[in-house]
Amino acid sequence: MTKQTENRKCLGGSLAGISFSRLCTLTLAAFLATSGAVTGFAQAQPDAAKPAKQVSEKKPAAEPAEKIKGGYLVHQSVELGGRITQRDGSDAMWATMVNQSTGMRIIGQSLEMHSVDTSKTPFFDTLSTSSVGYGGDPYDVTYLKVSKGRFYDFAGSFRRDRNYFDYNLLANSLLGPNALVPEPDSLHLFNTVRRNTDTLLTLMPLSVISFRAGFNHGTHEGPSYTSVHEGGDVQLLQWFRNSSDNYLGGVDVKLAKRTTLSYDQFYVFYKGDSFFQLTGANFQLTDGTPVSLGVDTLATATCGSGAHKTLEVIDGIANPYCSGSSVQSQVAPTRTTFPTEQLRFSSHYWNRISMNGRVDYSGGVSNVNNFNETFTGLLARTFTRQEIDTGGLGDGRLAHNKRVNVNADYAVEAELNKYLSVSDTLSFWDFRVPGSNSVVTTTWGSSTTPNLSMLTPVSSITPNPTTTTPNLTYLNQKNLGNTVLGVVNVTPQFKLSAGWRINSREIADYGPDDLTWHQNWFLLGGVLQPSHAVRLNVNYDMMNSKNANSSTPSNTYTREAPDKIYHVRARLTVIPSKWVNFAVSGNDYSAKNDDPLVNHQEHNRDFSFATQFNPMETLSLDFSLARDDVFSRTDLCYIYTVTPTAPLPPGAINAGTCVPSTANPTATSNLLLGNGYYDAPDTFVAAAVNYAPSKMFRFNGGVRVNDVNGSAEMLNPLMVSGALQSKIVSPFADAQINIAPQWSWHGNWIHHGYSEQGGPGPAARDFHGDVVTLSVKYAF
Amino acid sequence: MGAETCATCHAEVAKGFTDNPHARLAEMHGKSGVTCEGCHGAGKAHVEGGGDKSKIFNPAEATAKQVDEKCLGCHQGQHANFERSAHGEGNVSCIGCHSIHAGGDKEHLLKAAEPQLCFQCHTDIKPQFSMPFHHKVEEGLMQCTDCHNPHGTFGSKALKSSAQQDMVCTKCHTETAGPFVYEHDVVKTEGCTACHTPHGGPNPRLLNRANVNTICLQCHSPSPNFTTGLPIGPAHNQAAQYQSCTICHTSIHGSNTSAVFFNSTE
Repeated sequence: MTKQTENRKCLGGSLAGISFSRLCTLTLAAFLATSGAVTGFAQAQPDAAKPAKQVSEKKPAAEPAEKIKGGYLVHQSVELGGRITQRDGSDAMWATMVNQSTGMRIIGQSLEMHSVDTSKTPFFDTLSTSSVGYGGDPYDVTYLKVSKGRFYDFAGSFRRDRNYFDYNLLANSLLGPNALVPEPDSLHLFNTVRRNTDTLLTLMPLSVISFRAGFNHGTHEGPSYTSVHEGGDVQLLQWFRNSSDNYLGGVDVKLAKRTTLSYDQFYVFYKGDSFFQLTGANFQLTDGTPVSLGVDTLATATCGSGAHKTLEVIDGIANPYCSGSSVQSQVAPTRTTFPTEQLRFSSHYWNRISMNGRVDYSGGVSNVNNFNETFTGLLARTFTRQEIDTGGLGDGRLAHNKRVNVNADYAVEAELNKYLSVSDTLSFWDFRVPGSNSVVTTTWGSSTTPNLSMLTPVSSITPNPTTTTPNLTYLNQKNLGNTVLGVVNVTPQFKLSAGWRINSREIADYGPDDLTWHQNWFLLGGVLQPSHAVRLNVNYDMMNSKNANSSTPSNTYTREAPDKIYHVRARLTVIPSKWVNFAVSGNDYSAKNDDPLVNHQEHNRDFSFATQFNPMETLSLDFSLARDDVFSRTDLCYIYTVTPTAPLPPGAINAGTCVPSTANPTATSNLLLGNGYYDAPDTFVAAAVNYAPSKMFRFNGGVRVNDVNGSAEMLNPLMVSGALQSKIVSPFADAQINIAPQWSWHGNWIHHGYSEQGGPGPAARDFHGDVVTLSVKYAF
Repeated sequence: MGAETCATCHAEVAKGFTDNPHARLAEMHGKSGVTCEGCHGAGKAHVEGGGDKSKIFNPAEATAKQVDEKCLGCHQGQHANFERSAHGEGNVSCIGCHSIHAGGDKEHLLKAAEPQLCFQCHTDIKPQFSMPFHHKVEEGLMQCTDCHNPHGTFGSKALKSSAQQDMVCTKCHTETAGPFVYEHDVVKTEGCTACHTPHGGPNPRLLNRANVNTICLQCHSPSPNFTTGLPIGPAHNQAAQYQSCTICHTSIHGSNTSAVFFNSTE
């Protein structure tokens, strides 16, 4: 087991949930089922004094009888059980994609209360809450909704998501067998949890004036790995600790018939307290100090000079004259506030004219306080033995940034007659992000420090403090757009629309950019609805981008942004009767940037079909089929040195945009031209059958298959296609049996099969596993 | 005429209506507000005609425009963008998704719960959530309406905004919102979809490409008409030890310390 694997396991292990033996869980689930059935039967048994029920009587349905408590009609249910998992193959990918483990669960819970007489229930008329996933699932969800007539509405939710990621082809050095430290896992593995609480209270929702108050609290915390280019590209433990609190206060005023004016005040408070510290210090100095030499070090690498030039590591002892890290830490507490004011209005006061609009202003401020970054080790290139950085702005701050955002939108739609209507939408968006930072850097070591190495005591070196001049930066963008659309109701069954949109973009930054473009869109649409059973929608959009002045040399801001777009989409839904329906959609998006030294092309072509067929009341069949193809290519340049283990990629030459010239001075002669080719054709098939022959029994089963057979230009010779050539096969089955009044037994099985068609890379990622869920539900 | 009269023939519908949010309409106007007739129109002629269907407003038989006008008569303020939205212009109409009397999802009177409701038409989107890496919509953790407003917005693709009027992604991925001293400009100007595909895909972290480096090199290649920097020096040798640009350029959404998006102040 490598240090990395040990560290992975130190991040809380790969799997969520509690570990139980399968036998124990099966026994417990069986006990629950049996005891529930016994209890249910016991409840159903008549008193001894009453005559016995006829044997031929059918068992009653599991629906609870109407129960009134405290003036409320109450329906509740709770489902308890457990999950049993078994798997083989990659633990890391199972945890990344499925992350289920064996253990007890609260499968679900629900409560509904409805007032029988609202005049006698002062606090609420309706309350509903439901929860799923507690007890060990990687995600839990709870919803709550409470309302009281015309007085208030309240909606809340809580969601938690355990996000484990260990896909070893991401952020992996792919050094092959010569790696100094093998990397079977992703160097940027993470095992974090997101929690989100969302609430919204509306007071007097039916009144002329109503009020809204909302609060959203989100946290993202947990351990992860990252890396830093310092002292050898070392791995860091990054502990995520971010949270945001969003406050909302709003008022809606019904000024007149179908006319509303609204004001919203938002306040977002973000706290970023993530910190980093060195991990993966796999080697030692001769004095026992643990050090890391970097994640991308070859076992054959040498460092040092003259008599000190040796392999980087010999028998676990690191050459002290190499670049390496013994301490690497950073704290950068960030506090950001975004107060935002928004005024909205909408009106359909006149029957033939509707309009709506909004104006908002957001003035965010962000400060990085009490910044400290410490490095101890050796940076051989700059002769640095230790470096400590702190903030150089007032009060020890590192950075002070602002984000000023203004939006203004207005739309009006006028019905000229019963055949023709026109609409116009004006949009303005402007943001400015000015920022500044200043760093106080203290370094130990220089080119004159004699015999400088990782063994040189820091105390023996005179520190050299410097303060950078505050850097001032900014990024501004202004968007002004207008869309005019005409709609013709040719007949009640046939509608056509056509329009034109112009968008003007201006971007300026603290670098050399001060650029303006115009984007022109042509919009076409049609709806054919010969009856309520059939609807066909067809839309066609076309965009052309041009620079607006001679100082803007290109038609887009980036090389990969398209300056021409063609997008066709068609959707057909047919519901000929209650027992059958189907939907077909086709979507063809094509775009390109035809700068001759970019040659960017992309398309996304999709065809999909879905149907639901109910030949009888007790049986339904669902089927979905989709074929999707995502493609792009862009001329790109990369540095590549041919070695015996890294031959020249097929077709690679120094050409096109990689050729240096007066007009293209940033190109250098050792660049190779690549095409950035990427193609990901995907086939998706899903089929399911639902069978419910009686109220006592229900079955649902089927299969989902997702097959990606993609290919891409891989610049590193050791890179493999990974999930780009993969297949996921998931058959499933679900059965519910009403075993007694109010009691039902539930069994569920899902198979997760993931396989890749390419090479394994640093470690194979295929896995196969089953999750069986057994539970008992009591509805009361 | 009163809901009681309607209930004499439509008993099942009336019985189920007590749970319906629209039932509170009866509380309006000093508790003399209407319920059934508030949407279906005056019922006197319908009753006197012995249940003549032509004398009552039936959304199932009405055009999309008529249905939208009826619902937006009350809900205009909440859904001011609907008529100009893709759903509104596409004749999906309110009852394309909502069923006032027989919905499967009671909270918003939807015909079925998300995401199955949306997948009934958006059959091309459903497979994306079955890709190896995806937002957990099918698992029930997220919903389509976390990011999209099906009633339309002023933005494209009916996307919502965050509270600070930023990309909706920053509502959850708050650490990418900044503002930063050194912005990765494309994040703010082109949006998150310049590098990510939000529904799902075969690439980790929902990236647009399997090979991270080709995403970066798409822009960071020499071109006389663009000013993005070119990676130079032995550290960027694709044949050597550096697989992923983000091993070094880790603060890729923006940094307060490094103009080249290192974690450190270098």
